[in-house]
Amino acid sequence: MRYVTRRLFHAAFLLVGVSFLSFALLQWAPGDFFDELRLNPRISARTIEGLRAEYGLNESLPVRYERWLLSIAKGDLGFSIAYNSPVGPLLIVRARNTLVLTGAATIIAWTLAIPVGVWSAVSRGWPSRAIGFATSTLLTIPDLLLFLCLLLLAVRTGWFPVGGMFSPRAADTVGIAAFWPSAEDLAAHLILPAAGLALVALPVLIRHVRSAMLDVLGSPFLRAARGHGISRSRLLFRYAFPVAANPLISLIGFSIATMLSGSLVAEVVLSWPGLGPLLIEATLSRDVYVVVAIVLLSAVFLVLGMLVSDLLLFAADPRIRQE
Amino acid sequence: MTAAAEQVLCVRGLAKSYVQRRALTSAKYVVHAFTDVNLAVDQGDTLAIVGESGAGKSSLARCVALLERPDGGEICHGGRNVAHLTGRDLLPFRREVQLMFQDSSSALNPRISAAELIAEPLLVQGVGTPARRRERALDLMRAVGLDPESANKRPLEFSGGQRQRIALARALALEPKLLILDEALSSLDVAHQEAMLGLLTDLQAEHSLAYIHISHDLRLVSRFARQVAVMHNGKIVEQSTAEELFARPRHPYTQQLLDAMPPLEVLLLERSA
Amino acid sequence: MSEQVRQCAKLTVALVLLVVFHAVVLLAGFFAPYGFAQQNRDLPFAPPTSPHFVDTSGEWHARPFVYGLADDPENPGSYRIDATAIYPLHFFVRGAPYKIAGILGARMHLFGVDDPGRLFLMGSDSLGRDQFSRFLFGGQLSLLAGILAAGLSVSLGIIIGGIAGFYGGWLDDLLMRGGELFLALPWLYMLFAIRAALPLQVSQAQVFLLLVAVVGLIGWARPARLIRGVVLSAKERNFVLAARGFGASLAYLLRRHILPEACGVILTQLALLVPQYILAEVTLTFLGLGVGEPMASWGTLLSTLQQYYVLSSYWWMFLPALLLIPLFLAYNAVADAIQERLKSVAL
Repeated sequence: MRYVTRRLFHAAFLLVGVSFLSFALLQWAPGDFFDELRLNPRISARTIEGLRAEYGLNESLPVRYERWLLSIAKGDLGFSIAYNSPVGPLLIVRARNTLVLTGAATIIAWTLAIPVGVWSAVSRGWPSRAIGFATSTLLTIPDLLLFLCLLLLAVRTGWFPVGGMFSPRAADTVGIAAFWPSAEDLAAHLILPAAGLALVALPVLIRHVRSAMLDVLGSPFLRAARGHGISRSRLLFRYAFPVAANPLISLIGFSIATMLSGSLVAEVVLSWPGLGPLLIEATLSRDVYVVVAIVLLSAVFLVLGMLVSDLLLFAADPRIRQE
Repeated sequence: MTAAAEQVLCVRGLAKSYVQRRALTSAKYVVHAFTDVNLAVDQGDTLAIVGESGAGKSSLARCVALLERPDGGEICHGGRNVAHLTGRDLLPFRREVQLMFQDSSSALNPRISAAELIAEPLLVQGVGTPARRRERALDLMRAVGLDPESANKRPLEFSGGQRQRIALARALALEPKLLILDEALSSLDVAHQEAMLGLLTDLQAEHSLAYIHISHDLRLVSRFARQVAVMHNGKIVEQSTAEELFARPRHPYTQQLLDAMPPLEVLLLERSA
Repeated sequence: MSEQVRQCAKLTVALVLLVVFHAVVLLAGFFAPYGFAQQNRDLPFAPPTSPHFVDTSGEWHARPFVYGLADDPENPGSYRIDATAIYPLHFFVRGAPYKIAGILGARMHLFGVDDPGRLFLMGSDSLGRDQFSRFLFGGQLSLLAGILAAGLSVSLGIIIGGIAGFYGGWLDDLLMRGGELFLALPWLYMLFAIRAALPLQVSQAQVFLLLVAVVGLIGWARPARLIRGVVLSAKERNFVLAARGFGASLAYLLRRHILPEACGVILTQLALLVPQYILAEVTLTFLGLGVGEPMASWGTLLSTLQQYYVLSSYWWMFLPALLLIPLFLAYNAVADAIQERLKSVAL
């Protein structure tokens, strides 16, 4: 139990650190949302100052940080000047969409990576080499290019809908659980971005699975088991794979991190209404609280992902439980 | 041994312990490497420290050579206690006391050529010019029986026995008075051990070198040591001249060690040969 | 062919490719037939023009030439080849002025065609600007950004990793915890946050430098961790201990024995990080947050692809992205080769 509480504290520490870092960073920056207005000679300086005071932009850092923390407790996460609403509600839908995308991509990626990686480790000769070649190639293709190609594919062939999460005629999708009725529509829109994201993450995962399996396959205990005459498939699944799974479970946390970073590009290029496009918009307009909230949220997903993989490891590996 | 031999080094009440922390809990426990060690080495003398393989002897060797700081006791060199000196104050001590490691391949940086390795102590202490240092390195190579032609080869291009010679040449570069050999012969095969022993004896006669020889091999020690100290569980349990020790061992542990060796007659035969 | 010879050949090819690529980009003005801002409003989105040796009447020309382009009346917005207009290719021509490395002025170009002919090796964009020239000039920005940022990350990594590895104790713990924090952040999101913190109205040069600084400063954690590991293990090696036995100072130990051990790791990290950071710069500029007009990096070239009609009709606009692949392959090959050497040298 000590292990679990330690990981929780660790996660909390990371989150506090990230929140403070990103908040401080943005507040120390010169200029703010109303800089654009200042360029307009018809708006008086007094008006601008008044606006700034209204949004609390001229207060000191500790005051603003405190207010912001309180607003997190309320569920507001600050105030978006561009959208004229608390940040919280703005984010919920977007965050849900990003999670759907990232979740789907993670599932696809791991479902492919494990069999391919195991096969690549177990087989000799051409399958192993071909897979190695394919992963190396995939690794060097920039993800931007990949998404652009997928977009091109959608535009040219018309097999996939281009952009968006639902077709325009689908029901209003404000509620969190509103998308069950249009699951098929969602899947059609989801497949391209999720596949793209999965392809981006795939090579690294395959390599890790392969090397973990190779490590186990060469170990003495497995050779001893083989010497006992245990069948090959049983060896693979009951003996080798559970041991190889150990480093892979830790990898889940990290793969979520890269997936999140990659999802930003995917969302923008393929017009998926997630956190990515919102972040860019907010960055361009210096909508400070939105930016900080999104950074914090993505860090939360990440830390939660790592926490989940730590806990899975705890459940799976008896050595860690022993301590 | 002449009675007028000068004392090179003496050690009084030396002790060292390590604090181990288990990786994921916060329990600490203390390991005593050695306690209350007293030794004295005269010029041209050979002191052997024997005992079973374990961290105590190597730890002692490093502390005496001041590669690790002892936790208690004194090391007297040149009439003063050097155990707590640092930096430039230690340079005279470093010139006179050198340590040879058990494993030569880890003690020699594999990226540097043999001649450069041998000249390194001179470089570090700022002795001579690059040309002079190289000359001295080649001289030292000849003195330990290495071919100066291979001066530019890397350590891995030499055999194990040759590597120990390189380490020896390096240890001799600063003309030390005391050489501490930490199981330096243990990794060599018998033939090489013989050759090295012969070399060490010759060098001792030539330069009045003193040795502290740390070993778990009593048979080896019986060949050349004058003083023998027996270490057990971090303490010196018996110390006397070699003849005394072999003929009339007093501590039960010493008896155990002797029992594990070939019979005394064989040893005495070897010694007189 | 034995495995080792094959590896060696692969490495040589990769290195040659990298050197040639960087040299050509460095001397972009010389190799590019046009300036990067040179517009041809009458030739927007022209397809790539290829040099020919044999003309329509079957006659062979010693000097390669290009055909002129004219509007295609049947497909408005497209072009057809005007076989009557033949423009020979000249070498070492005088063209638009440029600066080598920003200092030396010159006007000599490797090749070009006479007006009104146009040599669009990679087609043209919406303003009729030659994509090939823009690719070379843009490469100066993107490559420089990648290399500088990688250098920054690795330098920080050496300092922090070296301190952590050598001194150990609480300092090591603190620094590595801090590094974990940086590794835990989704770096692209952080990049945006930091970019958002910067005023939008800064000069292009400042934007570039800030971009480099930001990308480089975020990525110190992984190199630092690796270098710390090397320093930690090197510190304990017997030959370091032996050197201390002769009275070697800290500086000597670091210089002579410890840091050379880290050399392999440092070079590998550099070779791995440069392509990643080039991609970071390209992505940022693509999304509108990097260098802006009139300066162009590869990201700017690719950003027009966000419009559907460009994406589906003008395939040559993809070329800058495709050319990144061999570049990244070469860098990765070099990194792999260094890692292989490290593994074989390690005892």
